[in-house]
Amino acid sequence: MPQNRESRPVPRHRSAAITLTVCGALTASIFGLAISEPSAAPTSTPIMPIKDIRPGMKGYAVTVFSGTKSDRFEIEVIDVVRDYLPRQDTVLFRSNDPRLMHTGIVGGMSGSPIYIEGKLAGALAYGYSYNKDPIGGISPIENMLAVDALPFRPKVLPHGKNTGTSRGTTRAGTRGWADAMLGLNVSPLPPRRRPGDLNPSAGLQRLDTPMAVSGFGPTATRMLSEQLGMVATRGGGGSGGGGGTRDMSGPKKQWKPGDSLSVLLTRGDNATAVNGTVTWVGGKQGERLLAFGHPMFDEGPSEVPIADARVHVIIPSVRRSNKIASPLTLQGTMVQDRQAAIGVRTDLTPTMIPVITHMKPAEADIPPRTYRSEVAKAVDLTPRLVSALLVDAAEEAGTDAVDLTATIKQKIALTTSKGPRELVVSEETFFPMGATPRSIGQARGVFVMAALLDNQFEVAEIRSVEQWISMEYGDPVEEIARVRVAQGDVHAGDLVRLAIDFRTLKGVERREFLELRIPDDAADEDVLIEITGGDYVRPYRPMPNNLDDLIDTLEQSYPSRSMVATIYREQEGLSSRDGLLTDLPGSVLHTLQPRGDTRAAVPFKQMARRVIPTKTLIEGSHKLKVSVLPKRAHP
Amino acid sequence: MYRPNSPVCIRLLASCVCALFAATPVQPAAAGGTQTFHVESYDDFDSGEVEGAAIEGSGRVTVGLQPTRAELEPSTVYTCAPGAKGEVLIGTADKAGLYRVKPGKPGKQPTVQKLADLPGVVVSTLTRLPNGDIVAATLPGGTIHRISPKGKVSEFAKLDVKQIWQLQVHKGRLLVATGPKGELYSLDLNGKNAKMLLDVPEKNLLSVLAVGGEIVAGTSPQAKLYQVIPDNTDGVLLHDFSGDEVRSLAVTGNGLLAVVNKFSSRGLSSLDALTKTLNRTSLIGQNAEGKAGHKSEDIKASGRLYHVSMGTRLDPSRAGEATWDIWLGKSKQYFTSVVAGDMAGTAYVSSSYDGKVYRVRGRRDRATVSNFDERQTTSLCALPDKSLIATTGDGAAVYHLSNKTKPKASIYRSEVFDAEQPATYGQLMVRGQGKFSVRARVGPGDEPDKRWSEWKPVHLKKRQDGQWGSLGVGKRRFLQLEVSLQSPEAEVREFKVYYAPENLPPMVKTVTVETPDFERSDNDEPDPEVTIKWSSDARDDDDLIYSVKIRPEGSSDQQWIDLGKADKLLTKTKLSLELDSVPDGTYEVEVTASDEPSNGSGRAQTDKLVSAPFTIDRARPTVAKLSQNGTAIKGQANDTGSYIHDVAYSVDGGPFRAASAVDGVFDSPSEEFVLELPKGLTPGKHRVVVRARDAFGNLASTPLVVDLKRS
Repeated sequence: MPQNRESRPVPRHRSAAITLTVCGALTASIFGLAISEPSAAPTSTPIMPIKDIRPGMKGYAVTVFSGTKSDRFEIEVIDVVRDYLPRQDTVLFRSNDPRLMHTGIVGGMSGSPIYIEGKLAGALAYGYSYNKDPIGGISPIENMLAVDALPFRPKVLPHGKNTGTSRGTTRAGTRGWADAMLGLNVSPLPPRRRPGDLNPSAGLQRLDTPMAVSGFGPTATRMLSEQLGMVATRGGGGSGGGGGTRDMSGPKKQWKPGDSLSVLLTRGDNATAVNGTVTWVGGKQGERLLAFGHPMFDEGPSEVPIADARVHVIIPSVRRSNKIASPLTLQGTMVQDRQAAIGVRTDLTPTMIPVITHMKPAEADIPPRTYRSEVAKAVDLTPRLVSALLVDAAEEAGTDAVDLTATIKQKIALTTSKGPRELVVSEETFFPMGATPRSIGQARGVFVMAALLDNQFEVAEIRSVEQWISMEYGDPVEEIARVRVAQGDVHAGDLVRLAIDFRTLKGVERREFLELRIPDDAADEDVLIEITGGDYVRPYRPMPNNLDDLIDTLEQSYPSRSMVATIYREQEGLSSRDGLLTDLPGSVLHTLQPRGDTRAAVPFKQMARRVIPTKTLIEGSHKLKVSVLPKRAHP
Repeated sequence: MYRPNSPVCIRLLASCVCALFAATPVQPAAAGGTQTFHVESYDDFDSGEVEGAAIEGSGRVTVGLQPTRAELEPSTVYTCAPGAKGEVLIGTADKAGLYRVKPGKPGKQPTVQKLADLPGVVVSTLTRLPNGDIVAATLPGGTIHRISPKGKVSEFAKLDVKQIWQLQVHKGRLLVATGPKGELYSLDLNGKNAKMLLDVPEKNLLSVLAVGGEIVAGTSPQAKLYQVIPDNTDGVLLHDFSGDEVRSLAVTGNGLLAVVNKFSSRGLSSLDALTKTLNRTSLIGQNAEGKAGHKSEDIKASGRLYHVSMGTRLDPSRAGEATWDIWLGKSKQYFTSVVAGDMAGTAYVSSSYDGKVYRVRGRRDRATVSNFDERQTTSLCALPDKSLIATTGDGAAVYHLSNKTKPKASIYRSEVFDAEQPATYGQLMVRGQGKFSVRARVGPGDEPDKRWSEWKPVHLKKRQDGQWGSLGVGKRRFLQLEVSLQSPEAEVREFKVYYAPENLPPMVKTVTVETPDFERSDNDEPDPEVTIKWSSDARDDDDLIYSVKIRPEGSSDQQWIDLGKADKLLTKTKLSLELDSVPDGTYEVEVTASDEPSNGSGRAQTDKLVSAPFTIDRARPTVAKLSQNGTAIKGQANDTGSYIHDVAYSVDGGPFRAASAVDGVFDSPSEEFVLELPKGLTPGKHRVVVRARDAFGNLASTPLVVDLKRS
């Protein structure tokens, strides 16, 4: 079998070949603009335009079957499928290569260049699940080259595309976080597009990109796999093996089409890398790469590191075989993540966010540990990855099926347009029958990060994250069983004595008295007295006017170990971007409340609040409606 | 919105159908009953809108103040104050900003120039100092800003209060009405030497007015009016209004005017929703999707303009003892300001509803002088030339209302009338005087849009009872009229539109026939009649008449016999059929409903429904084959029209007692029965009467003498 054919000069047939400009001029679309015929350029690769591809044409593909050296296998064109994707055709092919006959089209081959009559026709990118013959689909090179023409946008944080409420379960970013905080019973993180979602019928599907995971436990791995919609493969993920982030620098690789390439999502003690193949190498120094032939997350402009990779083996599977690969050395940055390809620049060095995770198990005999990793930057991706690191630590800290309290603290260092800031959020969560790591993964800090990254004001530069999780045995939890007013009539200005009965999980009850001042001006009104745990209410905050305002709001919360007593009034105030307006006369309140869809101010019920520290976590909430009588003549 | 069944505007003119249609060429075919839209009272007219016209309280549209408009960027203009040289200063909400408004020449829009941005949400009050500087306060906070005529902003004073509601210059000092401690301060014109003049129990002093050398101030909540007195910050309570706030005060003639608003609490039920919205907006900076707001018509509020005479010496203390009259009262809205139009007792009041401005002259003379496109009118300022500047919210705009321009743009536009069906529009009658013209347009929806027709002039001709003209518009469901007043004395007092909605055929929904009703214990036959009942739906409020026919089941159409009376129209939905003249058999009835009373016989639509077949059986059953065997008597009852319902017997004239069917159930025209004579009958002869009854209640009895042997 011939080896390394792809490294030989590709024969040029001027009459049929069309050459492409590497760095410019190709303004063809990513999203549907017509592809103009490319013009000649100094550095050029002969390509086979899709219009010239006919059934029966023969060619070959180049990919790495094992190790780092690429090999090729023969293919034959079956037919061309027009408009398979928006403004993108695909070419169906079959391979008679014995290796492919055994494995079928392999996940990780995404991006393998396919040459027809010696000219680059595109990338192997699509396949069928459970199919008996090695039949796949090609992303045409014209569409891929259009991705290369797009600029690097370092100040754009990519958003996941499948956000919003289309599935009726989740909403994006901050809104999702708000939903979660407000108890709307939806996951705060948006669903990730999975390969199956692209084409729900059992037809030609985007190849799974195998995600090499190392250092993560099974729960975190499964969570990542589900959330990112990728096939997790155990094996090398670029982990340093317990010593923090390994130095992944290495000599600059001279990339060739067919080389194995990994996109690094996490590296260090916990590592995650998505594996695929390079289709095309361009640029004066060979610094521009196109790979995968399909998107990774389809998030557009990106800044995620990439590495060269070593393929350990191909695991044959009836559903879809996959390459097991490990990233080797940091080699550049994925700058575009588009329908037809990912675009890579090897001359750009990406930045990742260092994440240090401290874990203290409940079991005293297990020593505390610290994990050092780095995660990629993206609006939706970063919180998920940090969450996975937390889940992994929680899993390791012990999920003993006993009463446990998890204390989580997260320190997020970021830079806003006003300068550096640090945000610390913490919470305590009680688990009656052992901690469930996944719910720990939805820690407040994770949502805060999602909110910061998805803010509407500016790009929040998260510099680092440090998080602590410690577990303790025990059940320091009390539920509010009953609340009653320990007096008869309630008058305006009274100091009302409330009797609050608490009950522990084991059913032990105790009573505490709390005094609340009924406002002087509440005569002849109904007021609502609410007693609840500190985790269940939030301080009133105005609308944010900038990222720093938002951070202030995100920081504000009541301690988990506290009881919050609130007297809600019938009167309303207004929350605006410039603060909270309380005590507004009726006409002012109504006048300042625009009726349009976009509001400058929203109303709230006025309230007075007392926060009382407690020794236990308070669960439950009780409300009492009290009719207030006029002020006593002689209090 | 008028409805055709509204007693005010719609009168069914069934009796004049012929006369009207003789005078008015109408479209033929399915025109329904003639109805009218009638607009004659203030409330009728006030459902429409004016532009440069006034709706007088006496129910007239007259030439009013001519508006010219300029738009601003923020969402709401909150307040205004007179500036220099006939200019007006305005302060905005959403983004607190200060603007200078210069009224345009007659017919020209005002020019608006931004002077300064101020910190805070809203400019709550502003006024001009004698030196030309402007002082303004913003919410929230107790800072008063000084703004130079060139727009330079500096701090004028800072008070330990959360809100400043009104600033007014008085006797070389600045009065500052504040909240939430209900304090009135006086500062010198450099913002120094603050002195507290009034400290009331209520939270806010929302309005303050210098009158006749004295100072009065209104509160919120509790709507109280205080007078400031020397060396006592308690002041004097002049009046305690029924309401929640004294929003604005003004003087006209020798009277003091107070705008008092009353709000219904929204209660605590909205707590959870509001808290969620607040939490959400505090995180994402904007409200959640969807509308959670309150439309203007949803506002549970009422506004009143009170007036009290202060006497010729303008003594405000009279306000504590004289009678306060209600000059204007409106529900579903609150008033935002009052200004004096002149010193002869004219006042203008701005309202939160529909961008309205009212003109009031005493208890009865009131008029709507504007309703702007924006939702609410937020403030008014009177200019030296007696024109007005009005500001709006929910779409920030400034209007200059002037009476100097020619009344070419005095327009009254009616509400959109709903004929409830596509309708043929006939004549328009307008009563008025002076020169005016009318246009009409029609459309398929209750909001005029591109689907609506163009305005079409109505050519009016004078008749004795008004001016009449044919609308000549298309056959659509919705209609709007526009009256344009073209001379200063022009006015319109009444108009009436005749229309005929498309006639919908009625529908007979059910027809039921009730056969005679009887009890098993009845000893008499029921009345020989069946009752026919039906239900129907006119579908367009037409009056209906009915006809009922009967025929033997399955016979031809020629055999229908009309059951109605020739001299009387059947309008009830019930008819009794005497059976004396109806032979036994199975019959069906047909009920026909017609909307002739509302539409005339030529245009009436009908609907018919035939009942399920029913039986008429007046033939009595027979009793035969009676035989005695000891105390048991057997026999057979037979009926031809229906089935045997029951058999009973009586012994020696006693009560009838039930016999039994031999097969256990009375269900067929021929039933064998058996009866057992009561035990305890003495031996010897007894007279037994056997009675059979059929399903129609017909009775037949046969006597039998039985001889009981001694056992």
